[in-house]
Amino acid sequence: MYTEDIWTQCVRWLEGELPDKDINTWIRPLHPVASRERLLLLAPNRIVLDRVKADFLAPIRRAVKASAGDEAPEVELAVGAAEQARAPDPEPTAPRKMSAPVSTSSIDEVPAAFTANLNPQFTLENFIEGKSNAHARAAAQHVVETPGAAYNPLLIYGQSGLGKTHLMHSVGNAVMRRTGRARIAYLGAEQWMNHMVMAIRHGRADEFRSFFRSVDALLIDDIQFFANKERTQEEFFHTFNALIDNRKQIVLTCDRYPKDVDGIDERLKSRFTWGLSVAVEPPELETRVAILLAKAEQNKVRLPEDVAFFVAQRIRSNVRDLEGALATLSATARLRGEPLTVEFARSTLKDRLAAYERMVTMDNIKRTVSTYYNIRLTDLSSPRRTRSLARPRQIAMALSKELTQHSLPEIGEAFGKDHTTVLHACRKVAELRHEDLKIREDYENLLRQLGY
Amino acid sequence: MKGQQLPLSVQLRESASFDTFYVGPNELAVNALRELGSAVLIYGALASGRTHLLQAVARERRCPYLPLQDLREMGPDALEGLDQSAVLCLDDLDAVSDDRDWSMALLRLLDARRSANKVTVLSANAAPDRANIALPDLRTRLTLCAVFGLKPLDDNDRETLLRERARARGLEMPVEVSAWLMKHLPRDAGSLLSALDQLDRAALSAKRRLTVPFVQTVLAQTQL
Repeated sequence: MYTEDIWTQCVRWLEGELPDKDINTWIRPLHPVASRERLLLLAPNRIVLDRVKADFLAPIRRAVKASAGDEAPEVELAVGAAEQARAPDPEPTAPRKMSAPVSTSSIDEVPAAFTANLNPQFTLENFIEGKSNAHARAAAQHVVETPGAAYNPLLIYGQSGLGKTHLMHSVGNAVMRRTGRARIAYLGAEQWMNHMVMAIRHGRADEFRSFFRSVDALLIDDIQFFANKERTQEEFFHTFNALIDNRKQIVLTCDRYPKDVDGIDERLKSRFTWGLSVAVEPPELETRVAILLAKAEQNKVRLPEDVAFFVAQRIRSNVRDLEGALATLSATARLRGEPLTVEFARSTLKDRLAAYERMVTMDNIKRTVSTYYNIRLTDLSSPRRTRSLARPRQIAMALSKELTQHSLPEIGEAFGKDHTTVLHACRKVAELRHEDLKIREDYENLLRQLGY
Repeated sequence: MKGQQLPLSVQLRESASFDTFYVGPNELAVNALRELGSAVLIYGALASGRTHLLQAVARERRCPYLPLQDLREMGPDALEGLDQSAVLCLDDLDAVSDDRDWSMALLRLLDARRSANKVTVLSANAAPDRANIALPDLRTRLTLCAVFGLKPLDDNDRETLLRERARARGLEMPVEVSAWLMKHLPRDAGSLLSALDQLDRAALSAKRRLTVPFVQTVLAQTQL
């Protein structure tokens, strides 16, 4: 009998013994690997292993006996990846660590895990370009053509869900295609840190260093997570320098401009911006429509343009939210067998859209702004003109103009002012957003808090 | 005095499958979970059937099911190595999403699974835009899912559910009994079904059929 069959039978037997919840949580994650005289069950992690060992080994042994009779193999447990065990060749293959029945994940896995994890679906070709991200895309294209040259490191920053990771993978994929067998490591900043900590603990810091210093390109996502991790920053600083010296490309992403991240060493901050730093902004309407249509085509969904327009007009914050809306729409349409129309979209996405529409009343803007600046709500509409009140008031007016459909006189009225004051406020804020970093950040934070 | 006869453990075990889920107003969510064309997130109030549905997916797809509430204290290492299973169910997201380390680990897991084309099924107590999530990045990952809110059952649905479940256990529940239960118990499906469990056991042990007085006695005993 084949391993999979034995195990399938065992699980069926156990289903009659153990509560569903235990089966689903502790038994189903196990992956069987067998040789003639033993059945090795691979647990995805220590926690599953320990629990199975403590509570379920006996019933599993009984189940094996019941399924395989006298020839029942010995049951052993180990931590390991199912995928390795399911190698392409049909020979019964050994898992990573046959010798030690209980293995923990180790530094050996680093190269395999981080050089083969580029997502091939993310390419420059399928990155939808718009005004908001054209600069970043062009920079990525440039890096692909001349990796390790002028734009090193390439730093892409902006809020979540705007395509930073997509661009980063695109660079990795394109470099891979160009050079054939390049070693490209992609990982999140905190994964880098975890592996460093683990390497140090197991006395393998040198291997860790030499691995990361020998890659052809290093892609690190979300470097804001390096904040306040001094030891990690120190280590990364050296890796960074080594790679730059060897003209290996580094690509980084961050959720804001690195200079604005607290808790990162100044030397490192300045290095992050040595090469080229490009921002990705939230996409404007046309780009959002284009993104929706492209995703729909990719997923073979027939999305009429007016529906795409309807959705894009209402979901403004980020690309993932757009994709999520599309997924909900297409699943619902398919299950109900109804065509995708604007009316259908309106009713299906009611909850999702309400989240946006709920946010953007003037009251809500006033409340959000007064909380943000720690002033009283009434101060926003008071006639007092001290700078500490006037700025927040102007910002609240500008937000009201941008986010609601109210007329300028209406906005003025809400703040006890006339419409020329509103107009002045909007111009002033637009100007300040260009010149004053603090105001720009405040404005963006407020937009985010309001759901944009 | 002779003690009451203890029932043997011969009750039919109610397993959490799609067959035993009372669909009612939630046909859409249930169909999405059966089909699993993409990542799905279902949300709903307490006792709206989230766990039942995720267990049903785990059972049907023979995939791992992680009750995050129970795993919270073990730390996010509990998510390690789960990027490979073709389908994965993560229940009670809200139990861990306020924690940064958990959110981070979830974010990486979801990204890894997405890029490997693996389907993840999640449940939470609120839609992603209203949930309490420590990392904005995780929130945007969640909005990527096809999101379905579970609608609460109305009283008619609940009474039907109660009677259907009773019948599935081979227990005849007269209309006046279900009506009485609806009037006197908390009306969420969880409370009703646990009362049913109790009644089933009591009826078996006392060899009685379900009548209003019998039900009153049984439930009064346990509420003392």
